Amino acid sequence: MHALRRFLETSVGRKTVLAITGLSLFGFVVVHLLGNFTLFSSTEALNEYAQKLEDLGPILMVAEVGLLTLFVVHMGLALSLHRQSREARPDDYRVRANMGRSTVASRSMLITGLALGVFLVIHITDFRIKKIMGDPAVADLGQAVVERITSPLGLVIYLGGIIALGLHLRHALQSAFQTLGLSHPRCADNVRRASVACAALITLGFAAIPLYLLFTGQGASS
Amino acid sequence: MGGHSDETLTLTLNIWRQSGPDTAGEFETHSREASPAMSFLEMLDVVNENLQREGREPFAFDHDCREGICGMCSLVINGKPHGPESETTTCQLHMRSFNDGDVIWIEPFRAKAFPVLRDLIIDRSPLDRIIQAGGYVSVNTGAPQDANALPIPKQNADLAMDAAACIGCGACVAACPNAAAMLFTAAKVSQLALLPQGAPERESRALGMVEQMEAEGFGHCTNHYECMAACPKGISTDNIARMNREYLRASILSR
Repeated sequence: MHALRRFLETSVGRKTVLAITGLSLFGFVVVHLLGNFTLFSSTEALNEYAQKLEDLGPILMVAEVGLLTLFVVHMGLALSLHRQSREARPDDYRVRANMGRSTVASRSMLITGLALGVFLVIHITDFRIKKIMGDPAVADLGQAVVERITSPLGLVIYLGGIIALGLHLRHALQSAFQTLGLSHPRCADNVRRASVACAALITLGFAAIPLYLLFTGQGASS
Repeated sequence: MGGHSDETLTLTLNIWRQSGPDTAGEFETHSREASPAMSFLEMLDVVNENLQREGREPFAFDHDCREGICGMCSLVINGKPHGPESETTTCQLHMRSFNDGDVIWIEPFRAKAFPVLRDLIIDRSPLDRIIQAGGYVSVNTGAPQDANALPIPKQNADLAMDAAACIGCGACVAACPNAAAMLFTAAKVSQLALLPQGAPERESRALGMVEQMEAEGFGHCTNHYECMAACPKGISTDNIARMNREYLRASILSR
């Protein structure tokens, strides 16, 4: 325990945990996206998929608690690291130039992360908590999801969340590999490219769902 | 690239003036002429000579070898540590990199761990203490051993040499949006981690140096890689990945 505490007292140690929790959450996002793809088939397909998850019973509960823990640890560490860095330069430059290596995505990790946090609260309250409470509005979950993400406000919130996710992942994936020391000069550039490609695919994948529903006339108005 | 060697540049210089660590500083504006053939520090020398002639206080700034190898010069020039040229220290920067009529902003490196002592001089002793925490090999001196007694792969020798090119100027800290000292510490960990001479103290070095870096109040690494772009010696952020690896390994293996 002493070694673990010592490890977590340094930013390098905390970043390692940040990277591992981040990569785990990325894994969850991929699975979530694949689940959402059932909507390309029908709302019933999504309901069937959701029912299969519900049928897992206690395993689902353990998974949900695990996910929540990952989110809380990831966000807590990110905020604590951010505070450390804010304190590391109390008196900022009067004239500041970019050296040209940082990106919009890398500079906005805190903002996109916080935006994702807000999005998650809305998302989980809307669907998961209502489902657990037995709210009749989400009795037909697939239909509730379709109505929500194709309504004007819902679509804006959804796309906003997805763009935040895409920007976050664009920097996060290659950053996690670097933090874990899994970066080698021979493949570092490919890791960076793959990171950008993954972020783009995830963003397009999520964004495609409401757009597909709207273009095929299965939107909220139906 | 700016003017020709026969032109004179008329510059507006905004130079940071601060009497001590606990006082507030501000920019002082001077209009000066400079030859494009001057180095940046020679240009500041002329500014100071003029100030002294007028009976005013010259600007304090760090410098020593003036040939780009000692790591003493610093300065953030127009928002960039060591100025606009890549892989060039302030002392090796020449006024031909500027244009006639330019406005130049000159500030000290800024980080809580690098307090301003006076004007443009900062205290970089935190970097020395990081070295003291493990950036060395403990060897008994004696007769030099045979050159090939310790086989070292060429690739490792090259990478260690690249890491050892770090002159410890602190530009990485200055450029980092988080004021992190990761590139400096990583270069110093790497140069020994890559060589057999560094092996006996491998774990204690990684732990000691990272922990000292934290204790000095530097920020954390968010992998912007701005440090690498600012580094006058072109130290690669691959070294940071290596240090992360070394630190993780040492945390698991150390007793």
